[in-house]
Amino acid sequence: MNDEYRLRKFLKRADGSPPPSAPDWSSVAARGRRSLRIRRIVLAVATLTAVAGSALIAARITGDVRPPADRPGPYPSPSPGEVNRRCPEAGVVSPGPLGVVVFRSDEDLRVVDVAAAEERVLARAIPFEETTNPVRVSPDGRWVSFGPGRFVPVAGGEVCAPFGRRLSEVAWLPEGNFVATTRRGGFVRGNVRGVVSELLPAGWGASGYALDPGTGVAAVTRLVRAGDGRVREVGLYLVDTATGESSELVDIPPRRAVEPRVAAWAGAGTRMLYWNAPALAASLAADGAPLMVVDTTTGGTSRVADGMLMSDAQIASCRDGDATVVSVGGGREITYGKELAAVRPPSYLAVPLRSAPPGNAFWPDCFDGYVAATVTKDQPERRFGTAPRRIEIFPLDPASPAPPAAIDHGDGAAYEFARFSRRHRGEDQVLLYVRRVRRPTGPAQLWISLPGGRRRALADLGRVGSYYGDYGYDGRLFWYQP
Amino acid sequence: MSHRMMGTRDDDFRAFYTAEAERLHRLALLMTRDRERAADAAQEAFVRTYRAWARVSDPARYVRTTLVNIVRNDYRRWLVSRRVHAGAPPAAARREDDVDEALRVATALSALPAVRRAAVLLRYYEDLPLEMVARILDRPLGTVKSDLHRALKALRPMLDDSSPTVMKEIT
Repeated sequence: MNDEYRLRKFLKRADGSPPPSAPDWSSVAARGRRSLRIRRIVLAVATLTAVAGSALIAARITGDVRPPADRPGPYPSPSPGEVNRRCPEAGVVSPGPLGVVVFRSDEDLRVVDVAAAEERVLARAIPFEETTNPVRVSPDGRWVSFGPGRFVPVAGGEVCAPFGRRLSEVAWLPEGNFVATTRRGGFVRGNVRGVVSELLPAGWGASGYALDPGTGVAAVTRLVRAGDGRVREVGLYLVDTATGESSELVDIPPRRAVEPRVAAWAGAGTRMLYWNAPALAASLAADGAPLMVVDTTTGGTSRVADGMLMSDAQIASCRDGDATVVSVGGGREITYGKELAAVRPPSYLAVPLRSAPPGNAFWPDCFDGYVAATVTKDQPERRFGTAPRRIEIFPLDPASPAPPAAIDHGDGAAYEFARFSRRHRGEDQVLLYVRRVRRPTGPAQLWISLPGGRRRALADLGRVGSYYGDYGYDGRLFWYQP
Repeated sequence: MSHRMMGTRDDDFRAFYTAEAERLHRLALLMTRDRERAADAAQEAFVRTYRAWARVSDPARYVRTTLVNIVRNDYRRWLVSRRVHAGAPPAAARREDDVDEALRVATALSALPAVRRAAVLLRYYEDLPLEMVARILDRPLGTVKSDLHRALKALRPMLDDSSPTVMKEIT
């Protein structure tokens, strides 16, 4: 008789007892209805108060975004020759209930409090070469990382580069102001004081990584080439950023000439999605590569989808940790010929979503495991970024009674980059999105959609995109919610 | 998002409530060790499920997740208030109606931390698969497995009916 059986038997003793008195269903339903009514009244009162009380907010509701007032404190980003390695003290930031968005607007790095619509400049005159790595905010909300290893306090202060002039993209670790990144072929962790510890030695061959923000475990890819360019070592490893322990997760024989590229964590940290990319290609596989999944406990791998563009903007993990939504399909154009599929346990096969909008669906986001959003467009484009685009919100389950909804102001602009608030649920759904003039390098604005169908402009993003159609919003802005 | 017609919502909810009420109230009792608090927590979980009915595709999972969160938040609030007021624990240590079997079982489980207790109940009392337990508790699967392993280890002495420990714990 094992322990589990004995525990089950022990717990079943409770079945003999009368449960606490359950009220009639109708009284529970009546409480539910009352609660719904109260919530709607509170929302209505809050809206009226906000509209009446703030001329600034009223102006923003009409879509008129005023340029932010200059305030003391925004410092120019140092040129590569005059990097300040010592970071200032970062003050405590107390953002409003909807958090802050840190974003690049032309050459400035700015922050806007979403609830109060108050905007500040964090750094001015950022050189183009410092826009390569994405803008990210630390888990404690005090620091912004951007560019090649640049940091600036959210509360305001000088831009600093504690790790020197060049650094790959950093990921903030769960424990406050520590980051992890690849450096000189190794994998390191460090903090804004410039203290660096080596998790994998320089020259090890670290080529990319993805951090599980919940556990601080990173999946790191390895690629070592011989002098003649042939692949000598290739694989996917797990590294615990707290202890430095590492283990090989996927071993790929060098003769196969493929290298793994990390895509995203899935299944609450139990699975890792990655692409099998051609290792000897001079560039990325233009028409996509097979998307694979590996069980992080057993190391077992299987194919998720036959072909998918290697862009993590085409993957969204649902907040419940159950499903991951991916945009798959042939063709090298990011925004055409794609359809949405769900990747779920136990099979982790990409299954087309019957509930998704038909046609071209790309850049998805997932709300709470029940609702997802995607950008869609009807036609291919002769010039990139010129077709009308809208954001469609739909239930993941086709049997769900929730009807689809769309964000499109009907003004001929392109609507894209949908991001759900991670702090709201169900009827309180809050969505951040971008409204862009339909031409390459057109001006764009950041908008927020609030419960009850309200929406307002938050900030100007300046001119976005290029003639090649890559908008890179995910690197341009970051929504921090405490 | 719109909602179902109110009549349909009520009909569906009624069927769901009838099927789940007794089970959920008993689960709440095992988590809280207190009949009044269990009734309150279970009712609140049902009210929230009713409120979210239009977008919930798996109400049985939703109501359990909500119940676990209510009980955990309740426990956290008690921990905070204990620091301030040094008050009594949330469950009465001993009451006249503590004689029934469910309360004895709950008392035996009270040695476990709240999350671990919830994991044990969802897995071995509700017979839910591990993946579902992980989703309800919003914890990685590996963590849940480790929680259950440690909980089993802690409870092992109590599972033997002849053990003096169990007599000490549940009488």
